[in-house]
Amino acid sequence: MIFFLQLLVSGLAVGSVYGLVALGFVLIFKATDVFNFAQGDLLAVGAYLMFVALAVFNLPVALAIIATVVAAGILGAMLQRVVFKPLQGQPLLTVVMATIALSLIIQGALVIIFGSQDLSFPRTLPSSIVAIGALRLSMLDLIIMGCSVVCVSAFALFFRYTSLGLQMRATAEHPEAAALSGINSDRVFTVAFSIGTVTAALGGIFLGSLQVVSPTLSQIGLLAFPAVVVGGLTSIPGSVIGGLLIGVLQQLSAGYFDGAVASVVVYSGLLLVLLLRPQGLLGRPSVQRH
Amino acid sequence: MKPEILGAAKIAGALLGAGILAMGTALQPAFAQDTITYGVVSDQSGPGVPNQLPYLRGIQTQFNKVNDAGGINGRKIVLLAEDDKFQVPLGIAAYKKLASNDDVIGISGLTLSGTQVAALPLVAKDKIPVVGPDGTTDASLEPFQEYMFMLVPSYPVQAQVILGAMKDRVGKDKPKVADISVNVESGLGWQKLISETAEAAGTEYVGGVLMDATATSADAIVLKIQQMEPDFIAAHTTGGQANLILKSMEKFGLNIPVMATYASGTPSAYAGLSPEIGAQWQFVHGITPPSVPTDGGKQMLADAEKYGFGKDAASSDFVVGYVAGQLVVQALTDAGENPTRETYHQALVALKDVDTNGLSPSVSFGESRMGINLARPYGYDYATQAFTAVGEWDAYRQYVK
Amino acid sequence: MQLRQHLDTDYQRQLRLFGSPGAVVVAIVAFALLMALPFLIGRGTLAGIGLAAINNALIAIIGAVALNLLVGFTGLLSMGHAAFFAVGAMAAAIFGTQLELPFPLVLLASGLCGAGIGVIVGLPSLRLSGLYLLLSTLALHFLTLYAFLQYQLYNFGLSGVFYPTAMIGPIEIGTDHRWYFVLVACVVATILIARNVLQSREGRAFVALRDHPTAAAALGVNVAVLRIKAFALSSFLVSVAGALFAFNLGVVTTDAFTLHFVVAYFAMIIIGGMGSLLGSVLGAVVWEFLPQWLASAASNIDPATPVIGDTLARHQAQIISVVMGCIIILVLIRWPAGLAGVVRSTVAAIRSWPYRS
Repeated sequence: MIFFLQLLVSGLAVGSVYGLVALGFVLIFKATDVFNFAQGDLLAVGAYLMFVALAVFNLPVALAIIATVVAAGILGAMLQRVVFKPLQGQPLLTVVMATIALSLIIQGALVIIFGSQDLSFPRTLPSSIVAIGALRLSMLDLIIMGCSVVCVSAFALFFRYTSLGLQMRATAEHPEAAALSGINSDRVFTVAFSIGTVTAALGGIFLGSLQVVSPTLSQIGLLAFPAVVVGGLTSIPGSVIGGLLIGVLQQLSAGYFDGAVASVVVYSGLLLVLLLRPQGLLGRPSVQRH
Repeated sequence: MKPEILGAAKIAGALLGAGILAMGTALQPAFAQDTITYGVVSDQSGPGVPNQLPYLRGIQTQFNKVNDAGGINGRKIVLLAEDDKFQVPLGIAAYKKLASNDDVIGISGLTLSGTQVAALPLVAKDKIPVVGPDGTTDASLEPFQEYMFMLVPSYPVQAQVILGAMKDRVGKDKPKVADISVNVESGLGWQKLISETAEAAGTEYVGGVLMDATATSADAIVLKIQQMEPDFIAAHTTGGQANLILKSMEKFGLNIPVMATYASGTPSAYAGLSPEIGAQWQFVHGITPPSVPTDGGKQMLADAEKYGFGKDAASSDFVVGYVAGQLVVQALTDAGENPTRETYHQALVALKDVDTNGLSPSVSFGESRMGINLARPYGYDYATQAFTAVGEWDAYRQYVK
Repeated sequence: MQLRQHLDTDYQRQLRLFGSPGAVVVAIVAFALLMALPFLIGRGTLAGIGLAAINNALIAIIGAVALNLLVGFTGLLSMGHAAFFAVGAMAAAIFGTQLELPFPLVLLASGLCGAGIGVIVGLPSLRLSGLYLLLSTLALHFLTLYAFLQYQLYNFGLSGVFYPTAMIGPIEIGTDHRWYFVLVACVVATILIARNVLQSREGRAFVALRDHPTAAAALGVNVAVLRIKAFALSSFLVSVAGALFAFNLGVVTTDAFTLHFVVAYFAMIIIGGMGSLLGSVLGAVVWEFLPQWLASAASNIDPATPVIGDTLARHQAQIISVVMGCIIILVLIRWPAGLAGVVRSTVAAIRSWPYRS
């Protein structure tokens, strides 16, 4: 029983990282209809930016996080302007391919700038061990979980109660009507990309603290996709829940079966969800109008 | 003339012209008579880059050095490095280009196990000596490969050193060993190796766990190991996975010593941990990592800086490439005025007790084609942020059969 | 002056392989060039591309045509490409290595296996579309690779799955030279099959399915059956490509079938032009050869050149990656019809000169 609970708790911690990445992904998708395959690479960029802030500029940890987040936001806005704005209105596959090309560029650029070796943060977030009964957690795990809760709540509030949030929801619902109502959809798209990149960067900061910073961080971002699908492509709380589920599934299958089987289980689960309930657990079924 | 035919003729003419132009570029400039060409097939842009790129740079450094000193018997050596992007078909195509078109005298690299296995029959046919870093699969060791020269100790050798050294260190009569292996072909091979040779080394095999390369937490793996209650762990993981494993072991208060293959021998394995936890993990290697101060190491780092490869020289794979380069240069020099593949091959086989100034035990290829048939453990010193050797090379010869 | 556009005035005319005497001339010239290529190259290279790389490109053409049939012409977004290559390789191992059937039969059997699995994979497409189909085929990718690994470990061991030398009758296909001719024959066959299917009723229905499924259904197209047929045809061709790939290489491991592989084929059909057979060919050739040409060009630049020179020497391969990514994005923004579109408009411009096309 303790074994199961411990795996559950570890899974929640890991799943929070997937959830953060998935959150940014859903945000971008909802607002701009762009299926961003490069989300995992943005995670890696976030980790490397944090490394630069810590190792090159020697900032204290808190300041480094803020600096990284700001830089990521600017990067997201730039990407939207340069790459995705010219592709507005193009079919799905074209946009997907553009994100894949972006992924290629980012991966190549990271190795050119930082080299191919593993790097590690010179100073990390607190990672002392916390014991809750018989369960053991790292302080870092708790911080990550707390952060995702804060992020989800913040975004829920943002979308519900702020003017910009309302504009984003309107644009996601019906771009033409929103434009007719006087909403600057361009600005909405830019903001959406910024926020999406910021959440990915946060995920990268956490992942870099959990392990090492290397070009393979991009591949971990790939697991955000099952999270997004399971939770629902159009649901923000769904994406985080999906992430948590995937994290837990991964840990449980690694614990009870084998590390190898873990990804099979995750993807079989993904397939099952797609076949039985394509809109995910919390998404709304999409109605096709011709 | 009918407009359709005119139109088509125009297009045909354009095609033909383009074809001839393309053919024209087929004439590659032949290399000058007074150079020796050498080929390397490795990953320069894919996921294998962290290990394979420093290896290439190590060879490059050695070749640059010898060229600056006047070349090999007066001839410059030219390095042709092909990128296989971690894909087998590209690796094979690159090999064929080097062996047939560029007529290289020898090849290094071919590290991707799929490429190596596919290349073995071609290597035997072309009779081209391959001074690769290692024989990554069983197929490279058995049946005997005439032209494959291994440098780093094979997995069986590493297993013998690990099992033997840990048995003596733990001090029990029949200590229990478990393994953690990365979830790829080499890891599966490692697991099989440990489970099969544990008995002969005087230990008891209690089980093994596979770890996904993209796992973000080792909690489940460590918990499973905890249930097996081993006295020590023989591991084959990446540095990043080692870091995760140690963090999880710290979380659960597990104090089981781990000795691993050189795959985890990077500083990132020890990052962010306290020295007590970091001391639990040691790895074995057949060469001396750059941060351990040796005469050869100092020279190597100076050479690397000179040619702009300082960043890559921090990696143990750089050392392997550097040593490989030294051996290639030595054998080519021994092969005389006009080395051919045949004379170069003979010179390689004849290499005996080559001194690398502390970078490795003395290297001999000989009949076995195993250059370095020994390994010793290394730990990490947090105070100096460098690796430290645990003992001398000779102390571990007893474990290798 | 007469308008020099080539317009088909009836269906029979369109079906003909060579639309005009001019086309015959072009075909003969192209054929001669193709046949002469290996002899002209000999043991050398064509601007850095050896015969082995050309063979890889030929296999890629078959894969790209198959993917274009599914994605470009029928609009079914599938990421299962690498998985089907793996299926082809696995079937080739079962029929070729284990059952030791003759090579042409192995190819056929692998194709049929692939088609069968394609039908199964096609079933989710009846419920899902667009994005969801993409993701479900992504899941299939991982599951298939797992199955391949288990097959490999169970039957062959850690080194990989082995294949015997291909034999057609008494002739051993052992050298790149011979493989070249076998592959050219396969490529020509694939293109002819694809072309014929696309000009048949089924093929037109595929395109209708892509552009407007509801209207197609209203016109009497059985959407469900047709989707399955598209998957079956595409998977047949991909599995044959997979079998050719496996026999050409000699040993196959799961290393060969990564997501990067899938991405590469998508890049090929997008750069080449989706919904165009010529596009598949051009895209495959460009994707396979451009990095090599860039690398050859890059190695001619002296490392001593300031800034560019040093980075080029140290990170050549990464720079090529970045350049390829930029090229893809440029093509997507500027020439959505891909290279085939560029070729077509150029040809039209030449044909109708001095008029604007």
